[in-house]
Amino acid sequence: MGLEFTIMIKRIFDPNASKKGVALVMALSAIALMTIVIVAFFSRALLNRQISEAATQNIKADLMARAALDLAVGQLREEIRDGTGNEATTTNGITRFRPDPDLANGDRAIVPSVNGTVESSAGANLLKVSGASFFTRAGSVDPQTLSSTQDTDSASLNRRYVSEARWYDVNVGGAGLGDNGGTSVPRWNFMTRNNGVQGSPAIADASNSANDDFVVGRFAFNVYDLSGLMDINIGGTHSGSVVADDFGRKGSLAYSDLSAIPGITEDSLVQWRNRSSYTNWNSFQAWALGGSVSGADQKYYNAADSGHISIAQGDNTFVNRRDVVRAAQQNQAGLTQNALPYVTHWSRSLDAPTFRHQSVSTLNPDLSNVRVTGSFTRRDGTTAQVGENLVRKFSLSNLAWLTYQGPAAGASAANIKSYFGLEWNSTDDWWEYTSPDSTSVATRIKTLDEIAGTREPDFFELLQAAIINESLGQSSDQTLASTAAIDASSAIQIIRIGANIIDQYDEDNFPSSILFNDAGALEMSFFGIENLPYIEEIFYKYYGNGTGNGNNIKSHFAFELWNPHKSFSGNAALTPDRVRVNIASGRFENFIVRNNGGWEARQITSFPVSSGIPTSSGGLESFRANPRLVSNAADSSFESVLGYNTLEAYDYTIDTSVVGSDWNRLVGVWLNSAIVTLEYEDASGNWRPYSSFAGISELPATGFVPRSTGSAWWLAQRWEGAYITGTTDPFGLSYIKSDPRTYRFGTSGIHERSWNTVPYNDTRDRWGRTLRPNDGGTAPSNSYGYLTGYSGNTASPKKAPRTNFAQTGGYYFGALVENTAAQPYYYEDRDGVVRPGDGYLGANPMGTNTSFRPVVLNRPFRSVGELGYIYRDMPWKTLDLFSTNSADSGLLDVFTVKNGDVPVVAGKVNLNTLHREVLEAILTGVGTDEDSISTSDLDSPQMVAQEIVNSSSATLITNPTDFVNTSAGLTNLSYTVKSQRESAVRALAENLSTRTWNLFVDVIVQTGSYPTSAGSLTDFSVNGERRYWLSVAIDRYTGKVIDRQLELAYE
Amino acid sequence: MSNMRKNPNQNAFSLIELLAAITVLAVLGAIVSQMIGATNQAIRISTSKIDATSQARLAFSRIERDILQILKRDDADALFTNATSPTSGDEVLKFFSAVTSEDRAVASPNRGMSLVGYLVGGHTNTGGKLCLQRGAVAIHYSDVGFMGLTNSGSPILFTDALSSVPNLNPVGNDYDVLAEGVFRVWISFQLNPQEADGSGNISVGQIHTTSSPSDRAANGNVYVNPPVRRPSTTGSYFVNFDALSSIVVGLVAIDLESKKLLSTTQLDSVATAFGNLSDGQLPVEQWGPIADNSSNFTGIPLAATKSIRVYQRSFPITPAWASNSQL
Repeated sequence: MGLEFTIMIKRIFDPNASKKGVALVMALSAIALMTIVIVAFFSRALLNRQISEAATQNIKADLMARAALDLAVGQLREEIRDGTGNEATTTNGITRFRPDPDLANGDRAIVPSVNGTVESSAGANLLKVSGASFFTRAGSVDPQTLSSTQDTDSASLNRRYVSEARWYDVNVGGAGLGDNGGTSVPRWNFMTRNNGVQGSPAIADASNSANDDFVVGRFAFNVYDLSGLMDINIGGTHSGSVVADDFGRKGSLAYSDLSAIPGITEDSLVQWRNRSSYTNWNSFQAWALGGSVSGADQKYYNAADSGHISIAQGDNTFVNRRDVVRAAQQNQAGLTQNALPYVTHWSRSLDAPTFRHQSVSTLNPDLSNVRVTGSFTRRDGTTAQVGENLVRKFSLSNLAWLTYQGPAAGASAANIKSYFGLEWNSTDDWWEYTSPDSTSVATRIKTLDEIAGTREPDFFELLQAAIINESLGQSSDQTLASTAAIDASSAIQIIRIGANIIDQYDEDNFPSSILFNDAGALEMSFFGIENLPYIEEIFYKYYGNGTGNGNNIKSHFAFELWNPHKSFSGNAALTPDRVRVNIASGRFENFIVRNNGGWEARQITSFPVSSGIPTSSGGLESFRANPRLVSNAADSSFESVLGYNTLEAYDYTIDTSVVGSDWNRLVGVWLNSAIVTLEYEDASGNWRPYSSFAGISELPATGFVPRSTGSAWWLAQRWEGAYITGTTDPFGLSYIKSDPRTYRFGTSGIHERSWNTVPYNDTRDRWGRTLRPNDGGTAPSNSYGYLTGYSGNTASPKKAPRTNFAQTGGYYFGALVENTAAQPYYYEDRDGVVRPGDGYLGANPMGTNTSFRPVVLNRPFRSVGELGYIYRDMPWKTLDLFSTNSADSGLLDVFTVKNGDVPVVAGKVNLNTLHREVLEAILTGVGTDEDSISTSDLDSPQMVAQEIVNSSSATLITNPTDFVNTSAGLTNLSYTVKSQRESAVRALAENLSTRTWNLFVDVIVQTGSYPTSAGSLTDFSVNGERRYWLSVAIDRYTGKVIDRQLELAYE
Repeated sequence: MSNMRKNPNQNAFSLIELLAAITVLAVLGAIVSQMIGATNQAIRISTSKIDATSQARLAFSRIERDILQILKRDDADALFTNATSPTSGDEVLKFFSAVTSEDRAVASPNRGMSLVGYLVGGHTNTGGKLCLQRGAVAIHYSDVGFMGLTNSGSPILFTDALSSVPNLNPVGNDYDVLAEGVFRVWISFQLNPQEADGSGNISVGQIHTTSSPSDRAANGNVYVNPPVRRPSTTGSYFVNFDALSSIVVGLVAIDLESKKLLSTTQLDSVATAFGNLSDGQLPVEQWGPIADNSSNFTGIPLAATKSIRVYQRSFPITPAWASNSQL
């Protein structure tokens, strides 16, 4: 080595050696150095480029993934647009697509279709799998052609594939945890350079960068329908904090019993989720129900008023699907993987009505198609754009603003005016319905199309729109029925129903009064029904000295009061101490004496002085009672039952100079042109009317007296008294209403036979016939007389011809309790439909079983289904949420107990769900009896749930109200009591939806290309990949995306 | 040896020859040296640019992943702001995100969520020099009580006593160096154009800014403060995700070799040269000319100033195809 180095040095300095080598070495060294530097640079640059390329590919993948999601959502919206039977209507560019349940003529269903790639054995939630078009054309819109044969679990050129296990780790499928029938996986669709998305491009084109079909990426997806799943961010209650009564009233998805759903430990779930709010029931109630409950906890924990979009202070929530899956995989938060096919973390529903009567009219429009005709500012401050849907749900919690003494503390008069159209008259202490547009008492209730350009509808306008108008305004066609004109007004009945709703909601038993002026001809106050006695019957009774035709024949009017409701409820301090019957005006008419074939009036010659003097006009206070003592018991001893007790007796002496001993002469007394009111005493000692007795009038033209200052209620009436046909067997006359709470159809006059020498002597002084349940133990009973509403014509009430009121046949006063065509006496509504009374299933609401009686809640509604407790101002009819011919089911879609100003809410379950378990969870534990709500659980929630699933599987349910009208789920319930049967409705009403598609799109995108050498579509070279999970809510009626959540799917 | 003896004078280089040779070699050497120097210079510039870009990409990539999974909820606190000064070390972004981070020693399983924060400040690992730092703390199923609305309708704050989730402490050890070469960050907010009403202003006061709580035009404009909401007519403002279209992040980065040329003070002065932006201004538009002009950085080595780069990227918050305004 040393020798060689020496030689080399010598050569360098050897002058004889070649000098060219030095320059060469130096040049080569420089070149080598530069090469190294440059190579290092380019190496670094190349590496950087690769990093950049990778980042670019990720960005490309991200963009493509979003594009794929756009395509998926776009195709879903196209599916809505398809269908010639959609009754698509467009206003100002906004189209409404109404699904038609018959699915004929190219209609599209209310639910998205299952596309051809989903195998029949797939889970219930799997809806669409890539590889085929999103939908099959039924109408006028072609789906994008996306047929493909490239399975995603086939390896690409660089060995990239998506396994079946990876696809279905989302776990939102059915029994197979999302597996599409075992081995099937989504297939790739291809994004091309210039030809959009292709299902199966030719490989020669796909690999040719100059061709429009050159593939730049591919994507595949699964679409799941989560509309029918349980939102576990809301559903479920902790057993340790639950108050059974409240739970039994339901009203929130939170009050679900999750034991019906596999794989959930409910207490653990709620303890984790409601970490802060579950610790006591008040806070949990505040969280679950929001503004519909009161209390200090409400403001801290209220999540319901946001539609459960937000959560309560200190609570927790599943933030995305991966969060749920991870929890289930790790057995956290009470979840196991068995629960995953039944639960979702995200549900959104457009909480706007779609109810549509079979016969659409101006009064009952298709609520999904009432458009804003002029821009205005909505109550929540947003701008209503022309063409958008006018109607949003109305929150019944707004009823808290109203009291019988005016606006509640803190309530805004302006809001009351806007939401209810009411103004408080502090002079006369009553509400005046003016509508939001006026300051004068309204003469009608406006229709929705009248106000669509200026404002949102008020409470009464929505009532009018939702209740089939032909079912209202039933009246007698008999001129004797002095109330016929009032009864015939459907607007008045709406006002009354509205007042009844107000008084059910408030906690007091002081009836609210609303002044309304129907058609400008009659300005009257209308009162809400409270848990108070009402005049059931006026009975004219007389007695004498034992001969019956001598002097000093005495008589009295008796007023039978009856509180037909279930046992008294409510705060005693918020109940009137006293009520009285008052003949506010009118007079005792003279005796009418038949004198040799003619009639002659004679003055009553004496009156008792025990309690007021009946003068020739007015001023008779007849009866006082403590309404809280009024019993509902079926007591046969009317004397001991204050509600059945008689009033003051008024004696008079017959002028024997006229009557003499002629037994054949008729004797009578009229209470003529009288205003008989039932009044309560308010806290200031003022007597305020709340009910009246009306019925037969022979003077219909004077049946109504113009209102004058200070009086609230007007109905002049003349009741004929009694007549004597014999010395020992005189007749009395009773006038009975079919229902103490209403005078609709007037009163029935009934001949009574009762004679005694001393008043109140024995049971003979009882009313001979009455609605009282103690009348022979059965009611209705038959009697003699005539019904003011009878008719031999076609007018209502029908099927009650005069002959049936003959003495031989008798008239069953209580027939209207059932009102079915199977009964001898019934009436049809104006649309020809016979709608049943509350007792048509056999449980008589005025019978001896007090558990069948009507209910006055005196508390805020827990569910819109509790509107079934509202008296309908028809004999023995509450709002019907239980029969197939219900005219009131639309109310379920118009009102809510939740905050109605939140248009998009969480926690609704699609009624067309295939998961019986979810519906069962909602139904389980609902109380059937308001008096024993915690111990009267619905007998068979699983059966009801299964029947709903069976029903919707056979015929899709297009509106939540169809649950009532089709009786899906109610068919086999054994309950005969209306309120018990409606318990299923109360449980479900606030939690159902049909108009919003809640879908979950699982999309995987791979960027890359085909090399020119590619022989088939399998030879794709993958550069980048991205997977997204998209939760999206689409309004079926407009095709609009109402909300979405995009989730980067980490694995 | 025999040749030397035989003709020693004729075989030697003359001085002139030697000088000529040296001159030629010197020229050649100079040329080669210049070539190498120029190449090195070009490589160094390119490398510094690549390095700076890598730093920016690193930052953007991480921010993207975090923002992509951000919890856009009214009941989850979020901090979107800009530092009071380029050297303050204030947190500029802090939010909950559905990204997994390193687990803590707790029994409860990791939820795959994190509280994530970003700031620009000095860090011990960088000798106190400014750098972009990211903090993240894992959230477990046992961690509860950090979400929800308070009685005033406000989200539970990161600092709320109810929170059982460890907060990120900007002056503690919660933050790690994410991009050492990034020393200045600016965040702007593009409002959702679909939130605009007919007059060009947002209806019902849904769009405010924390600095000036008045209605702003929202036709896609960029603001230096986020859109906010306020639960009531009084009280604090909170980020209104519904009105936010995208977050525009601007970064100023320098390659790490060049950064070594700068002292902490010098780096601070460079960062300060990139002043705060105003509404409607974008980072590259405003800061790009500053970075390109070395005279803006007095007393700073030219080699370092040449390496300063400005980057900008938008991170969409609301996909354009879906908006509540379609209701």
